[in-house]
Amino acid sequence: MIFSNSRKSTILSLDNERLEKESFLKQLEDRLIEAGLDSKRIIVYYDELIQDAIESGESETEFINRIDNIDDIIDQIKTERGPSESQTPLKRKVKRKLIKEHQLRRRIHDVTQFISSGFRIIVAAICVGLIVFGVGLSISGITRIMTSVPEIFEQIPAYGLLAIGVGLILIGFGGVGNLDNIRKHISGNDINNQAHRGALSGGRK
Amino acid sequence: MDAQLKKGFLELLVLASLKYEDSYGYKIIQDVSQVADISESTMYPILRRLEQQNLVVTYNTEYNSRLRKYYQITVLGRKRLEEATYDFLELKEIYDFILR
Repeated sequence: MIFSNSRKSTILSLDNERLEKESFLKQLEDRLIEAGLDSKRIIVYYDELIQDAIESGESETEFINRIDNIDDIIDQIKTERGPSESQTPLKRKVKRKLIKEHQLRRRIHDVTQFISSGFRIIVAAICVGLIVFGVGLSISGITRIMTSVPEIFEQIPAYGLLAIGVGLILIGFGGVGNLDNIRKHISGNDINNQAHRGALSGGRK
Repeated sequence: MDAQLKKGFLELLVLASLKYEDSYGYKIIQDVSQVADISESTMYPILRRLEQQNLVVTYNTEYNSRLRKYYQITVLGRKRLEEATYDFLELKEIYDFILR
């Protein structure tokens, strides 16, 4: 069990160290490309140094900490670069192109990240805006409906007049019907009266 | 020590470390560190310059399932070391005069 734990910690330690080495080499590579220096050779040199240091029993972390910082490494290479290392115009042109491409890729990456994060914020803001607008619209709609019922009749009296007209017509129809009944009722009474009068007259006869 | 003078000495020290056997970056730093203060970042430009001046040549050999870059002194490099001996004698005379 103790052996197992010890082994685990060793594995974890190695993983951390590997990350540190990779991180160091990646940072160094980025800075070398930016500085227009031969990144591949220098990365191979430091990668090999770190591996040899580890195989000689040194701690990777301690060794990396012992190496000068990246700025100093670049300064050393720049200042100690002799005239024999001067580049041909073609090499300079290719290197400048590579640097520009690298810088362009980095800028595109930064802009893409900025846009994607900005886009997410905008979408979120639109969503919140739409929700607030929707809620407001609903409340104002309900309020409008409640307050507009009397207004409808105030603002559009024709509807009221029309309704009154229709009502009156209906009343009218109803009245006509009633009048007919009244008339029938009246006429029925007349007949009865006539019959009554006839009977009376016959009886007298 | 003057930076230019030190740089010259460091180049000679690297060549001297390769006098008897081929060597690789880490070991060269270890060997040279015994007599002069040198960092990993200082060594790279020196090795690069020696290579460009054809004073050393490099070759890769497989070691522990990876490639290791070895440096080998050239005939020109050995000639440079011999010249340094005469330079030393000349320098010694100068320093003897300064320190008399």
